[in-house]
Amino acid sequence: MKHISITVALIFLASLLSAGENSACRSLTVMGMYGWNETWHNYGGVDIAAVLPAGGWFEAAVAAEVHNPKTYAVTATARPKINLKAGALFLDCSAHYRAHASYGTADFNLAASAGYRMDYFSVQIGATSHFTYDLERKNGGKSENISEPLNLLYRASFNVRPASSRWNVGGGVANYTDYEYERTWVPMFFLDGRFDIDERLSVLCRFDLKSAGTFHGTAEFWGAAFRAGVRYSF
Amino acid sequence: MAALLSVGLVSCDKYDIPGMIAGSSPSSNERFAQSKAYNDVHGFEHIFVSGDGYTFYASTDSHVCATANGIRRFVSAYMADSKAAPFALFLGDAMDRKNNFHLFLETVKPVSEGGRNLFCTPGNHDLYFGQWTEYIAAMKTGTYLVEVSCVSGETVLCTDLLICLDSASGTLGTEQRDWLESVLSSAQGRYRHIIIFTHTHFFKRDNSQGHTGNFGLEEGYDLSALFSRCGVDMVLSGHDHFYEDTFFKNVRYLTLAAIDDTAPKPCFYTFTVASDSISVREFSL
Repeated sequence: MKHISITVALIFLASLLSAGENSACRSLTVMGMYGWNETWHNYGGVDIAAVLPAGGWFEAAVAAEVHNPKTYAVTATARPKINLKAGALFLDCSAHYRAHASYGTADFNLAASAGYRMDYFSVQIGATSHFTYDLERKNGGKSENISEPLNLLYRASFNVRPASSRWNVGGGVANYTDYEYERTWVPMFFLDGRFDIDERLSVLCRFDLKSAGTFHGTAEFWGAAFRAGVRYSF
Repeated sequence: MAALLSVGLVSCDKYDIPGMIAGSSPSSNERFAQSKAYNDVHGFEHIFVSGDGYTFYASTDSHVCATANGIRRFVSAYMADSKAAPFALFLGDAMDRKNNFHLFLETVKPVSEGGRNLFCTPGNHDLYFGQWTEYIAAMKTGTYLVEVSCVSGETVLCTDLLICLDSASGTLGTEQRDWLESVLSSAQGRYRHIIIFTHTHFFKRDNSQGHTGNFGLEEGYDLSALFSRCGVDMVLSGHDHFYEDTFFKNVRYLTLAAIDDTAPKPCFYTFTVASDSISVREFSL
């Protein structure tokens, strides 16, 4: 319940911030998600993400996801950026929390990464500190909060058309999403697409593929997730 | 240049580069099916030791290549210890390059010739270049149980359960995971200690471990919750080459340092199992 409360509070905060802005680039995205993986088998849930620009040099982003089995994720990002002639340089400073209530475990990431976003290609690289918490820890029990201070964070993606196009498809590889921060050696591959119905409303979809053992040199399929939804810009 | 690099990577005989896209050995579920088929016919080992405690030896990541000095010294030390339990553990990555598995087998042969057992778990290097075929031919199974009973005369004082898991692909796969849950569910309350040994480590707290992969987060959390729920005492792993000792949810996770000849500090370990504790001791080579 605590995790749902945090998620709802952050979404509410994002809505308030959106109401106070007057930029054409603010957006709210809602997506449904269905996935299968070797641990959860079939699972599904809902994602909500808000992007809140402040002038041309900064934007804030909040993303939250709820899915079964009792998994709640929320990420808040502050993103100063410099618009260049070709593309934009940006710095993501993120805090990510994901609770796996079924397992009595949560992880928290503090991440910083620098990126360069262009029409056709984007790259981002940085680091995250990963903390694992035992939510069921009792006095007298033997359980540590586990800190893994340095994990590489990376993302590389492509689009087949310029960002301003009415539709676009692309893909890439990263070890994190708005809803999950994996360790360095667990890359996730993705394909995504966008179609603008009009100036405000867009249809989005995304397919994520996660393998096991990639950097063991013994890779095999581990799981996949499909998301589809709409984005409203205002 | 790119073409030369590609040829170089593909022809490398140390790292199975194409295995980063698709492993060259059977998948986790396929390997488990082979192991289970063997287990169904041959059953599991049952070891008897005198007294209410015992000491067993363990090592990991020998990465046998041109030399096998580390694992040879481990075998010598173990066989020279007349008080040690009649079994030792090896936590995977027996070989470093293809066509070296025979050297590992020759090196550990004195253990079986001396009437003792070396229980092995496969590591990711043991799967490179389709070498699972050699591994399973020699070891017969990659997932199995070992019961260790402490006896006094003809009376069984207590029994410990050792569970070997095949995590060489950085996952247990669905079938092995389900089998593990059924084993642990039925084991609760029946054993004094439950010890799991496998290759892939669960946690990595220091930065010395930058070069090793791990379980995906969801699977790691799922398994750690399962271990805790079912009363597992200790999880032994290798893979990372550096020692780490962590408690999470009342389960002790020990990652053992490598015995690889090229390791900065090759070592092996002994575990002394008593009624109320399991203590570990490191031996540097």
